Amino acid sequence: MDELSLLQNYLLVGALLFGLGTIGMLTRRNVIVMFLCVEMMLQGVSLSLVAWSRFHNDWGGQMFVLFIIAVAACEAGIALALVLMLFKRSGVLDIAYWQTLHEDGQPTYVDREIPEQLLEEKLWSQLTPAGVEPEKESEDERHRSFV
Amino acid sequence: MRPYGMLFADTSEPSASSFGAIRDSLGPYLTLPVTWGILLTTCGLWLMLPRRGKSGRTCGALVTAAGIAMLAIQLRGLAGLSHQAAFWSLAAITLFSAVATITSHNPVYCAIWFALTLLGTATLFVIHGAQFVGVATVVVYAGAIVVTLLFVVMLAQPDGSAHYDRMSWGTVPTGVSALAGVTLAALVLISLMRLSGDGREQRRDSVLSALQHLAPHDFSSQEEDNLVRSVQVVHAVDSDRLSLTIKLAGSISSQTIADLNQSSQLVETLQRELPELQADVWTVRCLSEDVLDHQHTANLGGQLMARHLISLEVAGTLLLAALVGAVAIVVQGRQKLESSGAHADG
Repeated sequence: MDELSLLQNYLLVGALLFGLGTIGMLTRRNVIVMFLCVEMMLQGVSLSLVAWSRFHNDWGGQMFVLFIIAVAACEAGIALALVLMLFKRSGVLDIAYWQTLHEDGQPTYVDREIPEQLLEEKLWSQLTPAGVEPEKESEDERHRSFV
Repeated sequence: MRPYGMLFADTSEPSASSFGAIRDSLGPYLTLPVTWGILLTTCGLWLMLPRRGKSGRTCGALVTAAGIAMLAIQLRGLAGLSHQAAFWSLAAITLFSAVATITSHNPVYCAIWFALTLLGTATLFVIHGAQFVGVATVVVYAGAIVVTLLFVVMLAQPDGSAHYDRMSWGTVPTGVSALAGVTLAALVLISLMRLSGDGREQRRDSVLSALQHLAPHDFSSQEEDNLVRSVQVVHAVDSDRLSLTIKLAGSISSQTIADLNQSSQLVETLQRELPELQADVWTVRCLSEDVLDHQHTANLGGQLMARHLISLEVAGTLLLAALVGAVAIVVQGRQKLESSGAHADG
């Protein structure tokens, strides 16, 4: 009975990973996050295949997983090249920018309200370039002993 | 299992009004833990997914965890509390990272959570006995693919979140897609709950006792349970022929296996031990093949190079084609952009 319960638990985790990947793929608008969710779906399938491979004592499951890894690597390379090209043309990683590629007669999605911009302090700070002495502000010179 | 049987047989009497009919058909399902698991997980995920900049992360995380726990409790537990605890703690790490991947606002955080998900699945592979696949996942997936992805994110969008990261397609599409994904996993759960694999264990025990008659000194050691690793039965439908493949553990000597394959008593003994299998012509074959052998990687390499050689070569050619294609896309794309930019200017 233990083999069967092991199989069941693994298949459930694999199915949950696949379902979560589907949800992310359908929901997110960033092209790279969508691609990550596709890879998560592939991981769910790999987990199910390894579970079946042990249950039936068949090497085919693990072989299939190795080929899935190889094909996922190919797909990653080509997908990221395409994403880079899309980014060069559009300037954003948003897939809603390219929605005019849909069939004729489909409604177009328009952002009804855009969330407010992030505050200044949440952006990353910049380093001063090396070899250049930064300009001293007069207020700093007054209340600090050395600037 | 009675409520699940109602998916296929209508045993309740029909009700007069339509509302009563709906209540009768839906009633037994509302109290099922699977339905509540689906609803809780859907609500939790919908709360956590990005919706116009704000999303209830903590509340959603608790609700999702409750939903997934309600789904997972339906399954039979593993033997031994320590096995159960080990497996479910690793699976909890994996699922938590997966949920964090799809709900993070910052794409860099998504990639890092995904790397943790990959590590979680690699550990699940390793404790299942697939050591090579686990290490290959860490090296190729987490080590190469996620790093390449992070390079592209850094090239394209290095600072914090853009507006399209903090909102998705709207409230209703997010909820519907969450429901669809969770229902997909729950349907797998429902079909798993109907599995009962007793026949497999009995068949292995019958084959083991048959082999113990024929070669007693090989098949009566201490680890008797795992000497017969699996029995595969193939019934040819049209010609009433039965083919049995018995896979034995690695500790059985090849001389014993060769003797078994050449003996004529094997078929008769098996026909006696397995009376439920009826066929005119029986073909029985013993071989030593064990996925959980201590020489796992060597055997996997042997299988890959021997049985799957053509697939291996095709996969290598595919990798080469993908590499050339990716470079061609970027180089030609850049040329086209420059030429179209030149046309626009001049």
